[in-house]
Amino acid sequence: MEITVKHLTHIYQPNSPFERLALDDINVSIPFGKFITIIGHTGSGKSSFLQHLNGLLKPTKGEIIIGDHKIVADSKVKDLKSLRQRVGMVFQYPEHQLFEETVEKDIMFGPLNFGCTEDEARRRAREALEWVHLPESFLERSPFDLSGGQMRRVAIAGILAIRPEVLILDEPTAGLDPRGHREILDLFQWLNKEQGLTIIMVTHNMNDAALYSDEVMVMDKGRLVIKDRPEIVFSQRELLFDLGLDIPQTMHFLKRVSDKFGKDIVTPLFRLEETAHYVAQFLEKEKDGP
Amino acid sequence: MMNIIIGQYVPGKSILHHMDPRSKLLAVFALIFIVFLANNWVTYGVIVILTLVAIVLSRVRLRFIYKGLKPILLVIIITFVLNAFFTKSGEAIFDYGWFHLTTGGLQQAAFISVRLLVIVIMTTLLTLTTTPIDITDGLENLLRPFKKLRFPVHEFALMMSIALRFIPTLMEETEKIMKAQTARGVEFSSGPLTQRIKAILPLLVPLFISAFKRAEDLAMAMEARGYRGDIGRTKLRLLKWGLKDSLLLLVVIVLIPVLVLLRG
Repeated sequence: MEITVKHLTHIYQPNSPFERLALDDINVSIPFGKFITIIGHTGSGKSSFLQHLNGLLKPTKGEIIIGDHKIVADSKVKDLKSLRQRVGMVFQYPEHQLFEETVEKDIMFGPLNFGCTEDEARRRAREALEWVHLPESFLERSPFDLSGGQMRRVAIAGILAIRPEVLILDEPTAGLDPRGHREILDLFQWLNKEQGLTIIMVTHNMNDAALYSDEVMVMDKGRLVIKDRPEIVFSQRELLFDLGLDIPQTMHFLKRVSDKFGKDIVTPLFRLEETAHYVAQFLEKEKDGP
Repeated sequence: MMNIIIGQYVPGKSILHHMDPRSKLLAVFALIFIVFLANNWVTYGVIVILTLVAIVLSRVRLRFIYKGLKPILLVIIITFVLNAFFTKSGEAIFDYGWFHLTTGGLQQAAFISVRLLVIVIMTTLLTLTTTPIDITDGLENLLRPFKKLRFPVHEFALMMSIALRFIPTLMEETEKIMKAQTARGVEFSSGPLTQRIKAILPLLVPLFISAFKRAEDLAMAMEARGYRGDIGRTKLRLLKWGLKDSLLLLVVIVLIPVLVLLRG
């Protein structure tokens, strides 16, 4: 099973003075079970692309095929609902969607909408809360008494409880502290590796894109520029700079070391330990050498 | 969602665009009452011609004026029909049981519809050629005398401009939350009515919470920048009363005796 996007084009407010081409003939296929990140400058069409994947936006032209669902310009709402159960979407600042009196009720809201029984929904709420590392005592609390980071986890749990097969994330760590940031990303990695969820995440953080994803999609002005493994994408330093993007910190560091010694030792490494080890070896050789 | 345009201002360089908002506000306000002076073909003719002149002067495309009229068109049609069929005067044109159409009724219906049309077109022209900010500035300035009566004019104007400023923000927010809840299986645009009413709660609660938060942030930001009401406050955009503004008011004032003389 896979997600196939063919000739996807989206125009906002067509035939009006405000007409704007948001997505321009995108073709891509994403096998189930992968962790994909999308990077791109503000306004490059990342969010528009994401919203097509569960039918919140419908294509102006082209089609999206997810398993046995097909989204085209005139898809029916009824078909989209069953699709939305399989493709969960976490928006930017998802804590803004909380509204129930208790955390438990809020997490149960999604499953109940998709036809779960009360008992099943309650069971899933407990499980989802455990996944996002919040204690069970939170179930009875009001979501509005929690801290920002905790609210974010509750909101994400609300989507996980729907049990989607594909999880779409729009900058899920925006505004979190470094620890919350890492914990949330580790959760997504766990969901991907252990639960087999397909994850498609938009991020502005190049380190995250490099460290967590199987493949990186680079978007610019509504077009898909490249889609490849992070090692290949982040080796294209000049291209990324031209698009207003960046490379991971480790690669910046390697470049500085290269410049200092007048030798090109830049190689795609993203983990701190790996990079440190690699540079140490290089320095060792330099010392022994000439 | 996006096709609801609030504050229908259409940028332009016409003479109406360049007028002081105060003169436009006063003129429109006066005209709403002056229209009632008309009661025969001649006086209505004068007013219709004046309206047409105003439309031409504004150089706004008719499409925009029609857009402003659309919501009120049904009201005008109903008014016309009711007046036409329920006024009995003049010769009968058509008589059948409950329905009677008379020349007098037809005339009456035409007059009242024109009256409504003129009022709506005038106010539409005002909002089409004046930015919401200018309207609030103008209002604040015109209401200044009421300050002596302890009416909080400045606060009132500020409230108005903040409300206008945040309408697009709130709409954006609404759309965002609607999408987020749709992703959680809520159906806003289909399904039985009871379910759709239920769907309002998950939309309204987050919307209210964010609106209150936003208000708090705004108040804090204003205080941080030294806002303390209108004490000693100067304006970036000064209102400038020109010759054309005096002329406009003159036309409106002269219109009164003219209509009084011509009316039957």
